[in-house]
Amino acid sequence: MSIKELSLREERFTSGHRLCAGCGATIVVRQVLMATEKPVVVCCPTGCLEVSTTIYPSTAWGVPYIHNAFENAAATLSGAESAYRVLMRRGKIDKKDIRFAVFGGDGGTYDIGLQALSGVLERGHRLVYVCYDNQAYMNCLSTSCLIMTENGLKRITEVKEGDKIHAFDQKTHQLVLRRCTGVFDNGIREVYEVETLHHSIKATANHPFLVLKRNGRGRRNTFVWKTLAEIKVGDEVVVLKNLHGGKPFKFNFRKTEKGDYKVNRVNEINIPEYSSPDLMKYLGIYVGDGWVRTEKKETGFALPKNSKARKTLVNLHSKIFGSKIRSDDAYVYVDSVNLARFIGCLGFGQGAKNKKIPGWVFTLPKEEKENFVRGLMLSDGYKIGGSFRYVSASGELLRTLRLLLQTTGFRVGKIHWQKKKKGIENKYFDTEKIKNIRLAGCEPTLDLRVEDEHNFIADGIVVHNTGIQRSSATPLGAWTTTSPVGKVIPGKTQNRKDLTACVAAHNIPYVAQASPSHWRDLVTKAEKAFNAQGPAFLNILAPCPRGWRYPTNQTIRMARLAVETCFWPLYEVENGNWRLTHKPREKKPLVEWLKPQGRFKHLFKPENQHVIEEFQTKVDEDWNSLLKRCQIE
Amino acid sequence: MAKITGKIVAITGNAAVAQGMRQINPDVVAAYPITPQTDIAEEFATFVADGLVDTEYIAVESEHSAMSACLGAAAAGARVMTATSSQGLALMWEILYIASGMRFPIVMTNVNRCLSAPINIHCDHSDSMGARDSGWIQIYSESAQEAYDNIIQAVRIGEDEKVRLPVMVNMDGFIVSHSIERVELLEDESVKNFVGEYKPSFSLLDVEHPVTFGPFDGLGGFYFEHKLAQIEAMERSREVILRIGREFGALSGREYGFFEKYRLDDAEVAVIVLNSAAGTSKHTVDMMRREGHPVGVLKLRIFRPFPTRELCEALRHLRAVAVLDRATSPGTTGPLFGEVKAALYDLGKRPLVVNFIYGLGGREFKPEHIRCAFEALLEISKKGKVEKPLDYLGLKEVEVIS
Amino acid sequence: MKEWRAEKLMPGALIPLGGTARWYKTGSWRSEHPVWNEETCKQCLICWIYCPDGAIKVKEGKVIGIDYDYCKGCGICEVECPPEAIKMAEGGEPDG
Repeated sequence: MSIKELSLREERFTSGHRLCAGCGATIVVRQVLMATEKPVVVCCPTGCLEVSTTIYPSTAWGVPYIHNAFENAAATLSGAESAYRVLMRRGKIDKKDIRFAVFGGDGGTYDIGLQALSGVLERGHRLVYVCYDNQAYMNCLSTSCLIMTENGLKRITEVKEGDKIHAFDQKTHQLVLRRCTGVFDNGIREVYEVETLHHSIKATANHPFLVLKRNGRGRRNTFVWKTLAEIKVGDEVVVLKNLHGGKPFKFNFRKTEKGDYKVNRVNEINIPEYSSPDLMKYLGIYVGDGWVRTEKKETGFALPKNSKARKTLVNLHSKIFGSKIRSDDAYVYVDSVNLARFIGCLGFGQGAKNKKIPGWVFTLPKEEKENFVRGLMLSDGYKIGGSFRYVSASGELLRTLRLLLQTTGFRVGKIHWQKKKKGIENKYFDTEKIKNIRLAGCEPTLDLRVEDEHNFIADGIVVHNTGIQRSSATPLGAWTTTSPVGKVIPGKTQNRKDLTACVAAHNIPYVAQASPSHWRDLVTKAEKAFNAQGPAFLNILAPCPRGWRYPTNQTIRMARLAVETCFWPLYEVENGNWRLTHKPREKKPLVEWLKPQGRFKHLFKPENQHVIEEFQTKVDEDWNSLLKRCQIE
Repeated sequence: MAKITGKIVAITGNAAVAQGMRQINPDVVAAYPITPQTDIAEEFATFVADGLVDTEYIAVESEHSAMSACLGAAAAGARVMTATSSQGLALMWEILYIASGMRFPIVMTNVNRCLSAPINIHCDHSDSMGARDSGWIQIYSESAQEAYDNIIQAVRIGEDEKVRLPVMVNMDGFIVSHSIERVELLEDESVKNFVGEYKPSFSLLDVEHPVTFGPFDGLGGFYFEHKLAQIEAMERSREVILRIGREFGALSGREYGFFEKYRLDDAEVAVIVLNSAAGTSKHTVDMMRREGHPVGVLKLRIFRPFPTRELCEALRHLRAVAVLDRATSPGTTGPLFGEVKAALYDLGKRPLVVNFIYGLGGREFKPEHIRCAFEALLEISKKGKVEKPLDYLGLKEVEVIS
Repeated sequence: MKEWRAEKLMPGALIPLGGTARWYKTGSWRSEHPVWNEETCKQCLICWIYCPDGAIKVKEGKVIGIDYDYCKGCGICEVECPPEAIKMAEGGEPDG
């Protein structure tokens, strides 16, 4: 079969599918389907091929297609194949020579779908099971994201490999600079917008965020990575605090007017629209010594007659609010429903023990923050030598004050009494509750890879590069998000499962291992598989640019190198006879295949040299035993 | 086994279902054996081996694959049946939702058995009650005869163009599945005519018109609307169930509705039961009626869709009702009780309702137990209030360390 | 069925037509675009067999161009083309 003849055949897997640029699995599907001109019914288990080819209402399948679940593609198609036989026998459908093919990823084949596959092989259904083996469970940020780099904020599209990016050190909770080791195009995807009090970010549903996990009283809080799909409104995500000067805060406050429900008389008062240094000083005094009683329409301050704080307060009050004040020897009162409501809604907390500094204060310009602290010191602080001390009944106030002072440039000592440790406490990061998650539409998406710390800061929120999870097809030593490279464990510690041999042990008519780089070999094998009088199995290597971490144009090269290093030998088992279908002219060292792939990068550190050696030994052993099986000396 | 036509036979519940399946002669059966359903799988395999049916029988390697293969075959346009029980149904769980979501009229017999642990092979309704939200029509059968009759009707109900939903026919494990009873079988030809031919709207085998079954709904998709379509199909099934029940009555002399009332209309108190406990309850009602007590029974046949309106009409005149649940949901009441009580809420004047859990793990359910329930009901009726809303019937007196 | 649209929901969520993905143009994903040189092309069709997106236009056994509606710009064709008749060029859109 010449390539020209193949090209005259009808394309049954159409363009317009949403798999990544350079996806190996799609090349596999095209090459397999071009091997037969008979009608084919296809079943896919859940996986990236299934999801990306059938996003309702679009289907890339020009053939009848069914998806049922993750672990049962073989069983599902065996039902269809049985129905085909009986319906023809019963004359309920016209006589047609239909073929059946499953396209399953390695997760749905090697792992969760193995039982159903084994059942189908044993029962002898006439179907072709194609495993597109991309060696992990594969799963991004919108291109509008701003990334914190060494040189300030950059759009994600402007970030280049080698740039230094701010990341979050998960052990020390500090801000660290890390090199960007790759930028990946994830194509156009549905993008969601996550909003916290001060931040918002656009990302795809599978993008991971660092979320605070409260472990209950007396236990240390921890952080967990959760995908956007898993997080919900109210979750606390790690966000970057404002490192540079903020903006005055715009209050969203509607004054109670005369004539409103239950309001007959309102004392005239000005409520400022924006925060200001004066207002912040006033509020500082309030946090120290004030209270509000909304039900009594009263704001009060415990400031004794002739104190400096009282004088300052009275001046500020008339300047900002312009209303009357009532006072006695110990207290100052303002009778205004609007002032009480205004202060009440700013989030400073009620009662001395529950006072705190709300998040919006952190976003203010430096001067406003400093004035707030001055006001606070004026009320409750006292001076010892050259430093100020501040005492409060509210632990929360002390903690938030400390953070505020740190981000405003004050040097702060320890808080001597603490109730409970929050999950995070330093000058760069904080947690914020998620206010809203909404679909923002479809946008182009990119992802970054960052050395060591696999996270980076996008639009002020700490996010992870996306998930690539280990399967039993993942090779030894490979990095995945569930076999991470740590200080003591260098990636996946187990060898791959030799599924092709497992399947061959079922003694079915046809089993083969193929690679899209060797297209003629692949198409020939697929043709044999479609013509087999019983179950046939094709294990086909499907390089994945995202999971394997290499540039999109290298897919076929990666596949070819896997064959030439003998990591992925090409052979077939036809009615029990093992035959090598391609012997590389020269067996290349494994490192040639490992080196260009980011997932093996850590193996090239001196301390991991042994893993490469082990891996090479394993490949050699497997190759030699295969040669023996194929009776080649 | 010889061909059986239109006669009265003495067979077990499992055999009766197998006979029904033989007469239906479905295109594909995919099943995996499990006690107490095994006889159905075995007997049907024998029919295949003897050429009494020309069904494609897939002896799958698990119940998960059984339901998966049924789904694949249904997508290929085949009439499909299966049978399971207990752990088997639990293993199918995931695919139950997919079968109803993809609107395939798969018919399954579930031989009710409790769920582990402790492992126990006997009857209760934990298995089917666990699957009550899966979008399957659920029919319950008191006897072998009813199981047989229901399986034949189920094919028509599920395949009706207004419905297109899977149907689960339940009968009690061992109590019915393994007891030999008198069963009237219809003529093979009558069953064949009654069930007719299945005409699917779409098929995987229609290669000239390729369709995609089971696409990814995306994150801004139409999941909600598709679920609504499924809900509406379930609503439409009410009318279809009654129509098929009448048609079956015309054929066999045994007409079916949503439930059966036994000495209920002139009763003051009554019990509501599913499946075989109805027999024991009816017997006890007869005894207690002779003693002058105004007691009755309502045997619910259709649990999904739940016949709320009709049930309220049937129960509104009562002073007190006991709902007998052969399943439990730790942390709340029995599942049937919750639904009955909710249904009665909209009645202005409504009976008092009380819940009895009975027969878990196949615990015997005897006339004295049902008498206990009736006595409690008569007491409630007299006092006009419920003092113990949930109680258990037939517990052993042992020391339990919990 | 020819006039079927996404808003017409079919029972069981099925898609009643094949190959509707063609409605969705993936060409805008590109950040680089391939340029095919007809002069140097040896018509070996290697680019076609390795293209993940079926974006090499072939007519009667011959390459006639690039389908920019669907090409995602992965660059496999440039790397694999034996006579180097395909070159990636900056930007998503081809000139003119």
